[in-house]
Amino acid sequence: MLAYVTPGHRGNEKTFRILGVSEPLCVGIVVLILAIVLWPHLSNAQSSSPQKPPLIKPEDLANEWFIRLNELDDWYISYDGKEENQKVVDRFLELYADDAFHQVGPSATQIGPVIFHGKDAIRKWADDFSKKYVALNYRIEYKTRKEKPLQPFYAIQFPWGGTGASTQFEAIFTNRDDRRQYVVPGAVFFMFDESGKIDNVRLYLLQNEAVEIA
Amino acid sequence: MLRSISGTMARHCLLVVAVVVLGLSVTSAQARPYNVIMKDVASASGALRKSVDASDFAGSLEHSQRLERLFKETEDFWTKFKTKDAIDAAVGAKELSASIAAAANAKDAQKMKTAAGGLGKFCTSCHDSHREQMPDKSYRIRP
Repeated sequence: MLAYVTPGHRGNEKTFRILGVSEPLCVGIVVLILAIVLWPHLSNAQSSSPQKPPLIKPEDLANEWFIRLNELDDWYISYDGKEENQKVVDRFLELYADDAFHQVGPSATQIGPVIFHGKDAIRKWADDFSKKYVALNYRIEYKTRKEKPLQPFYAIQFPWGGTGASTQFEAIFTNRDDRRQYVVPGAVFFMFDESGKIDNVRLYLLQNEAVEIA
Repeated sequence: MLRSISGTMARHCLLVVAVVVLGLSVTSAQARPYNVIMKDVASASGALRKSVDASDFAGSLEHSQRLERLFKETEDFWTKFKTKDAIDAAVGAKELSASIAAAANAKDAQKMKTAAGGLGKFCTSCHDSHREQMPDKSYRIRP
């Protein structure tokens, strides 16, 4: 028993008093005690409930793609002649969703669009790319206005969830076999899922504007 | 009966010998590790330099011929990767080693010294592109 209850009077209404304290005040005190007792439990429950991951900026995701693409030449040949590029290829693939699409232009021996679907197919592309070029330097093109240089990404939040980003870049690379170095302008369009993985990437290289660096 | 058994045994023995010989030839044809080849190149180059400086024709011939074989191994290593600059460097060094050997054989000290002096540029050009020193001072091969 919490209290000794006594009937009280306010005008004609019947009221109750607990240990001489009026009923509304009693309710207030009980609510306050409950709040103090239950607060830690409530706050714990809140923190343990699944939270949405913080939205990663699409330009940061796109920038990371450039970093890992440029790392695809960062490997060695073992003394017994093995090309040890698997680690950098794996790192590049971490950025992609399992069901991702990766679309590039055709190589010299292909025509039409070339689409790689799924991680195994994209791994093949990354492995070939990694073994074909050295001194990779894909860099986002600078735009300068009013003496303010910037490497702009054009970003969007999709209404269905996920984000997108695009940018212009210059692909600077050296052919591994003949050691000829080129600079080629290009553009890339990303679609990221809600977890920040690449859902779709479309890479354009303007081969007609390629310039060999002497 | 006895003749038939011994004939079968002889055939089996021949087969075993053939397999062993084949196995040995495959093993010997396997490429040696690249770092071993490069260490041999370093020691042979040092020995050649001393021989050439001393106008030791016999020594120069021996070491330049050894280098020729080593640069052939180097060329073979890079050929499977189709890496033009490394292949060119190995072939250039191999051909120059052959000309040092020819000069030593002809006992032409001047020609031998001139040729030997040009060997280092092939090493440097390849090392600049394909050799990277690690923090522990070891080397790794860049593609």
